[in-house]
Amino acid sequence: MVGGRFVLLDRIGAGATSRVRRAYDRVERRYCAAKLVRCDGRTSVLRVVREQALRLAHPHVVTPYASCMAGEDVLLAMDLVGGGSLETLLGDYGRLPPEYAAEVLDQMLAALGRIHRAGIVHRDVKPANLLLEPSPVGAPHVRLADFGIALGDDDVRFTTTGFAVGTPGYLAPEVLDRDRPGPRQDLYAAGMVGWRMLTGAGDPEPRQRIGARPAGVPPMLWTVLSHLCDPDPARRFADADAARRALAPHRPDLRFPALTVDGEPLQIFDHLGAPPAHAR
Amino acid sequence: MGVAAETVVRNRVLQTEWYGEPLGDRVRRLLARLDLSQSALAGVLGLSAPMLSQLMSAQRAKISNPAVLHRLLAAEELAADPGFRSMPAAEVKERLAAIGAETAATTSGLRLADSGRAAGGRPSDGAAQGGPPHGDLAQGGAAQGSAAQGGVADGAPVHAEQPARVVQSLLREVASAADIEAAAGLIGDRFPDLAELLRVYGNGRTSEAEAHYARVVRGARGY
Repeated sequence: MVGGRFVLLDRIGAGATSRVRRAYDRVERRYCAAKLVRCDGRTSVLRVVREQALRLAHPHVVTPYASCMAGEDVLLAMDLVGGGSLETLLGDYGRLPPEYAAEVLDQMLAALGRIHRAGIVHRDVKPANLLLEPSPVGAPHVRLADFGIALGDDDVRFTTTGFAVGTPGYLAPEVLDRDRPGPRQDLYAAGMVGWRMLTGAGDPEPRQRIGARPAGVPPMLWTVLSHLCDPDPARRFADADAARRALAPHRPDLRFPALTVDGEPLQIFDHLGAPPAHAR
Repeated sequence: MGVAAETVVRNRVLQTEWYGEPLGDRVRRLLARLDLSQSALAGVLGLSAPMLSQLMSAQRAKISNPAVLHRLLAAEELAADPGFRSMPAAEVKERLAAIGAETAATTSGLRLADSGRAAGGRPSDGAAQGGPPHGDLAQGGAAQGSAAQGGVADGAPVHAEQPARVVQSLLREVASAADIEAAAGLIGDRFPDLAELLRVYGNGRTSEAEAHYARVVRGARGY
């Protein structure tokens, strides 16, 4: 039991500086994801304080709803999202059908629109940070998570390394070259996520060129992607909402149960299963 | 028989058609040989644990991600290596990590070098060779394959088995196992040798393809 409130259960994930456990929240009487961040330096303390301070209610965003100290760690309590991540989905199915990719892209852009309006740049948009709710018929419900290195508008830089932070293939050229973070770097990263969904390729290289439109992808969808991935930030969409508007006319309705490109059922599995027995 | 049981029976038939045997049998043999847990193997293959379980229990028939099939073939090849039994655990671990690191784009063509060079199939190597780091998947396989062959820069001889794998990669890039099987069925009566070629390289194991290649090409050239 942590903080008189959270019963820590099984381990459900780990990152570079944190571990994630399933937990039972006795106050809210529900299961949650408890992200335990080791606070062993100024940087990590600042990061966790900042992530903790984000309280963004949005259907496509996961941010902490409560926090407490847990020994050496800080515990951030968040909604439990059990369907794995978009990375898992791409591993299981490879290339996704264009209309499916367009839906995921739209939800991702909706999340980015919301956080950018709040003055926050995520800076680490990638498939592993896009969580999915389980769905046996494959209905995608994307939730943007891990605001560990997010940056506010008025922030002083607080990384200790002096290097751009993030994941190389998803970092926009202006960040790689001149370390100029801004909301449009998230649009670039979203474009690279779209490129992976439509091509089935692995992680992009830095300055990945999206190449020729794969067979079966509608031309306008590929055009939207190429604008998101433009190396020049000034030529990307002005904001996430503009990208969504460009995408809207080219987004056919999804039919369920969803199917993969080779006609197999596209299911989003429950990766967590039933919680282990515990005291309430 | 209930609907679920019927599905399993049907899927096992499909898996036998596509993969030579039900995936449960095939994967369990690999698990025993590699001495891995199911979830560890899922990690190597780049599949989620529930997906591997669904495929093994034939709740699902098909491996949808072609990169996963390539990694499965690579892992089986490692397990079948004559030196495997005497291989130190650290090396096995390293080889498996290299197989796991192969991405969709690189597995389509770069797994040309023998499995000891599996690590050479990483995207950074593609970039170092000046080729496109990830080619357009529809076309990239063959082009990257030739780049990789040129990339065996230390003068290592190109093994005779490698062309078999190039053909395998190429076929699997342009058509699914079911399509290849259907195409072979269509031409089988009039062109049995061509149909066999499609089946062996399209849906057979790497070892079968290599044996076919050795028999046909080396035989014809009088090696």
